[in-house]
Amino acid sequence: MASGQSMVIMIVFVIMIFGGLAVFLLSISQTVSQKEYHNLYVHNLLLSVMRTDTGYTDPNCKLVSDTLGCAFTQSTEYKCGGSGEPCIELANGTLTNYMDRFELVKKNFRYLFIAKPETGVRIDPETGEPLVVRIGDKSLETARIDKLKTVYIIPKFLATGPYNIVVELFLAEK
Amino acid sequence: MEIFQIFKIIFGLIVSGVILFFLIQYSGTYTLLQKDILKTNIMKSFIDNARGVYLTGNPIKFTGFSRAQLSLSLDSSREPPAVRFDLGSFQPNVPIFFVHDKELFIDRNSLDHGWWRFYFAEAMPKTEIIFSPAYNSPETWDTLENTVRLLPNSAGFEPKITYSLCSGNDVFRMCESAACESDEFLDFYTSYKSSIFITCTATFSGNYRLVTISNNCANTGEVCVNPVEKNIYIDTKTLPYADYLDIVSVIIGAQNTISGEDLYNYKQKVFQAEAKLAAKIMYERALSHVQNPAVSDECKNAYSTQASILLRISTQPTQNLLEQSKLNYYQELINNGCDYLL
Amino acid sequence: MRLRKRLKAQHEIMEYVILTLFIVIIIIGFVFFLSGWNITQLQLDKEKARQDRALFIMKYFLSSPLFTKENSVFDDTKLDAFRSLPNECTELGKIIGENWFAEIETFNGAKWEMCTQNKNYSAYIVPANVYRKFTDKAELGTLKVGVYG
Repeated sequence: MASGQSMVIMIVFVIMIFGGLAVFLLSISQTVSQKEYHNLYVHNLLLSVMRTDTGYTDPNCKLVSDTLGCAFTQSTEYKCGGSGEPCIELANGTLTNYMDRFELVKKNFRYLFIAKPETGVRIDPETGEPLVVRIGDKSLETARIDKLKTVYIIPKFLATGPYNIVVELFLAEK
Repeated sequence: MEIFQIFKIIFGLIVSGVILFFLIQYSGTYTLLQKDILKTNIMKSFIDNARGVYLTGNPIKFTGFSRAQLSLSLDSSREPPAVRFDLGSFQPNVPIFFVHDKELFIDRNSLDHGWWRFYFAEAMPKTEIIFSPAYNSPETWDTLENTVRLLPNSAGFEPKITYSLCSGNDVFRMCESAACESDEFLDFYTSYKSSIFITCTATFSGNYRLVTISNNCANTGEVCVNPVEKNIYIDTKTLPYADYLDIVSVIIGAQNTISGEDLYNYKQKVFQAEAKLAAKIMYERALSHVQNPAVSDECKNAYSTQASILLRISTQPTQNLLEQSKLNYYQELINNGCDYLL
Repeated sequence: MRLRKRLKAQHEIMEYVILTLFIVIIIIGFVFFLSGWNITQLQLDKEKARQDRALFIMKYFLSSPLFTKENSVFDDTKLDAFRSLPNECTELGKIIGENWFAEIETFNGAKWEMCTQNKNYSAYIVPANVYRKFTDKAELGTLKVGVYG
């Protein structure tokens, strides 16, 4: 009886091992295509948003990237097209609008958009703090989770030399 | 010994024998299946890598073919053309000119027609391409330069595709006595333009291609290009060429399993399909500009001329028409600010 | 006594046979599992192949000079021109094969549908720009590419 019992236990173990192996193998086989697609998605999201026209013909505000560059290099009184919105407001408004639209396209992702100078600091006169544009889920910046990231550089030149604006986009599943 | 003991031994032997028989038979089938899966994966990996290079323009080294023996052929009769291997076929869906070898360098290049660019991928193993410019004329050097520009540029990658010149028994390897890669070859070969070259009679070892450029292609070895008649000679075949990609396709294939002639026929198929479609799209686009009241008269005229050339290209994409359309595109459309550079 | 001995012997033989039977069942079960696993793998591979093809066609559209001004920026006049062709899907099918569709849509409501059919599909969607040639403006939108079957 004892050997019969141990035989049954051994059979159950073997079935559990097969089942576990099948589940494990199935789970690792699904991931490859998605990673490549997600990388393409996040890269194209940032690139496309940066290259979109805002509607202004003023070269400092023509594209979303121009507007962001203007926000970090022009004075705070500067208005797009002479009488339009200040660059920082236009940048914030446009980016928030576009990111919200893409949240509807891909409902299972949350995003964080950050723009700041590559070197040096620009002080926001209203807050007295370094100017950094942050739009979206701010916790994503430091969250220790599986997240996608892509970077876009807006090249700008000041009298003192090159002054690039670094734009980062983080994307993570909800 | 008890009868029961004997029974246990015999029964055990019979059952073990049966189990062993089925296990061996199954593992035999399984091993063959795994081999087939490996071959299919290698082919898929090659096609995926070729597509990746085509889409991004980033060259790579591919060593998948070293893992198994495959016999490949090109089926240009299918639409789109397919690459056949032992177990079936794959359609790359991108133009890929290749030689089957263990280690390949895959690069992307293009034929620029101004309003359209024909991109293609090309894959070669470590090869020395030796040119024998045995016809002393500007066309010879033009042909040589334009052909090298369309061949793979392996700078910074392995395996290396190198270039050299040959006259008689003399081989000119211009990079510190070694054959040059594409960029350096194009820099250094000009110093030989004033020299008189004769048909190459040197012998070579390893993987090489001997390309003679001559107005007389009798007894000139592997591949011979006649820039006067605009013909390529390979084996006993004569193939007319319209652009330098025709020459490149023959050089890459040469006398391999997928031969120069196979790649030449493949090029005609893929190029014609894309050229006709591109011309049809750009023709309709040109018409929409002619009909749009917001477009200036100057641009409308330019688009109208372009449209008439494109309409002819859409049925018969000849080199002459493609050159006309390119000239018109740059001179009339780009210079007048009517269109953008691709 | 003899009966007990005979019963004990029969019991031992039966135990032996049942043990062997279980071992054979386990081996047959393992063979079935391996075959079943291979079949599942093939089905997964088929689905992966469909997804890979959709991804390839997506990247093809994003980079092809037939439709774009530059990478990921479609030219609306080229899209209009392609759609106005008779048998446009067959023509492009000679290059990239058939049984796929593409939809380009801007956030301003403009839409281009190509080769759509009423069938099950596997699709990907990606952000892209559409350059409006006659107004010289780049709009934001999406490209959706799917494979049928």
